[in-house]
Amino acid sequence: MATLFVEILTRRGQVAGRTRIERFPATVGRSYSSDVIVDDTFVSANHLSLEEQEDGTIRLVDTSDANGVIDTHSGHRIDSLTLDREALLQIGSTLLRVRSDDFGNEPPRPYPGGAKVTARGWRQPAVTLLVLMATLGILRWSEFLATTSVSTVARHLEEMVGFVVVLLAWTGCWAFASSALAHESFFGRHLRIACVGSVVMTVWDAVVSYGAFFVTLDTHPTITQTLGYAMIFAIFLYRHLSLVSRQSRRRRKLIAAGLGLLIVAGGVISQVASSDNFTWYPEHSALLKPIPPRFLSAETPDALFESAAELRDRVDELAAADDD
Amino acid sequence: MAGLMTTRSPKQTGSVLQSCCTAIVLTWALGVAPAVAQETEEVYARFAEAVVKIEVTEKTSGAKALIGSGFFIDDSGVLATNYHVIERLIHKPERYGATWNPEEGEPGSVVVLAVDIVHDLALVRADEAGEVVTLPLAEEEPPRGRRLYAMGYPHDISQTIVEGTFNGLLENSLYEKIHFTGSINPGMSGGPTITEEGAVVGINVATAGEQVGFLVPSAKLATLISSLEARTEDPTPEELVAETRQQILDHQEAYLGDLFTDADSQFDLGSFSVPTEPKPFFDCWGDASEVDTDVLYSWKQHECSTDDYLFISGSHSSGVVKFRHRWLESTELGAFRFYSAYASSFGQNYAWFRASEKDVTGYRCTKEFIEHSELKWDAVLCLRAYKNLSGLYDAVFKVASLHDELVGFESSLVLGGVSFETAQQVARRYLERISWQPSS
Repeated sequence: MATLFVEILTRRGQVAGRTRIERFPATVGRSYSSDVIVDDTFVSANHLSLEEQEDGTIRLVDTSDANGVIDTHSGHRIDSLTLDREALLQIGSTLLRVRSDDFGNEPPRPYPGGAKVTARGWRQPAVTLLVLMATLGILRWSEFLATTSVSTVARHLEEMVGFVVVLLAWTGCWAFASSALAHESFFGRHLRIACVGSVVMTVWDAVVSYGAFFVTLDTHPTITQTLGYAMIFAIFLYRHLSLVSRQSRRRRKLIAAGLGLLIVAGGVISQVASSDNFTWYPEHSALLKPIPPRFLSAETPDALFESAAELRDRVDELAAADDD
Repeated sequence: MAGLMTTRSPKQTGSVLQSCCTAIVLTWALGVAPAVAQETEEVYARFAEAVVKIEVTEKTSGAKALIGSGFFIDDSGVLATNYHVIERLIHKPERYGATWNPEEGEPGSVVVLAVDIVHDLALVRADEAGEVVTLPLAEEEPPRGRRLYAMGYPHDISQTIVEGTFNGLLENSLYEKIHFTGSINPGMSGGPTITEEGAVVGINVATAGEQVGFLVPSAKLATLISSLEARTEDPTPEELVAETRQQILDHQEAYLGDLFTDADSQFDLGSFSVPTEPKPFFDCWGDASEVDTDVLYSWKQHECSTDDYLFISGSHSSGVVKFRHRWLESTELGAFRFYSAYASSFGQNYAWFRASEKDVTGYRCTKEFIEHSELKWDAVLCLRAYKNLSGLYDAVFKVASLHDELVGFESSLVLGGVSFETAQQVARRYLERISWQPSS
């Protein structure tokens, strides 16, 4: 004798109720005498019945007074249907899934959240709060180093609130995606990823700026900076995606790398486009850093003026290119 | 100083007429002496025919693009005017043409014969001029206070004579000019300013406002006229552009050749001795940060600049030299925050010359750490090339000392319209004049 499972699904496809059917005929409908009760005003008291055939297969028959049974694959109303391993149907406004008991299961996905700490549940929020505070401190400190006028407490607070709002908004989006697709928000973990990402970006900014000062770049190192931003973004995007996506690890990597590349491409295109832009004034790198002079290797002024011949050739080429 | 050609829209005519009428009322109210009025009347009657309006027109639309004035200097119909009046005929000959327009009679076309871009002068031939009244050049400078008469076509109204006085040559000016206390206005550019005998003392070129006008001394015109003798054919626009290029090159070599060689023109700024007023034609001034501000560092600066520029075209000016030294210090900021302010000051744009993308390339820069006066410096050298005048550049040289965590000194030199060699030499001498004088 066959055994079936009739499942009532939510609109997102999650199972809201499941009934095991072992005796046939069985009925599905709004009445309390039904084997599977569906609480839907668009469903008839006795909407459909499941009958066992002589050959052992189960046949679904529309017994409704109105609205009928719709096969969601074809979108068409059906009078009857011989069930295979799975059928997805709509009665009234309710989604029904009928599966046989030998329906094969997919192998389990790894749980993205890792071990759930239940006994010491205070730890995770505390760690998250600590990371958030440390991040705010680092970001604010880096902003503070760029200010050269008197800062009031109100201004400090205003900027802190700004950071928090941005971080929470970003985290909120990811948490929403996680709860929609992975059935759990992982808010704390997303927030920690966002915090660490912001700090790494800030550190990268400083590294690039000092690096460019030491090697005396002529212009601001925008491309290097963008490359770094893209890499950092891709890595942290991958971390966020791991908490959201049903996709395979390989696919998540590809998505993150693709978005990272998109940022690099955008940065490079805007750099190339603006490098040809005419400016009234010299756009030179004005990086000055408080490095003890003994760490700087300096040339003679003559070396600078002699190297200027190459500069002249560059602008002459520009002028000649324009004549053409 | 503002050039005196007129390129106005019809909407402006009302205000022009209004100010013109105001001027007439004022003259009447002040009661000009009858004898002087009679003299002016005679000067106008005798020499008005020698002065013409030069009208530059856009060929496609046939519309007037700008107007200036000119005057006959010889019987063959050669007119003197300003370079800036006819500049479009040599830079955009395919787009612009020009006519000479007598007060009475038919207009005729003009051909540019010679230009002096440095002194803003030009000679043009008036075709179909016939018999003309010419004006001789004054052989000597008149005494200060001598009554002179400026003539021309202010605001394209009609031929006008303006009385004023000779006030000698401008002191400390890079480009020699006569100070004329008379009201010369846009449209009078290229017109003559003459004595009562009709001798040209100067050519109207610019104004600095009410009753302060500037003239190019007629001696400069005499030099240009003499250059005509060597010509056998009319020059092409390309040849004239090449001449202006050579004139700028010769000129910059002459006035920048020994710039910053005088070790006496020094000024102390913080613990640095820096060059100041290297030539009389530089104007220098200083400034410092206000005490009562929220800014947590203080600065003081000293800057010098030549006060005039070379007009190359309507979109391109050149010929300015300027430099600025700035000292910054702080007792309240830490090293990182102070250097943030220092870097921002160092990055400020100090180079501004009017030029369009058609005139110049973008700037390109080179940057090095250099050792000078026992200190290490961040040094930046930037160049941009003139597209139509090869071999000429605008150059920017900047240095910032890196000797202290809470003290900074940065200096910028800007050279407009110079050869590469001149830029190198002047920047090198400029740096040599900057020296560190620790706690002396």
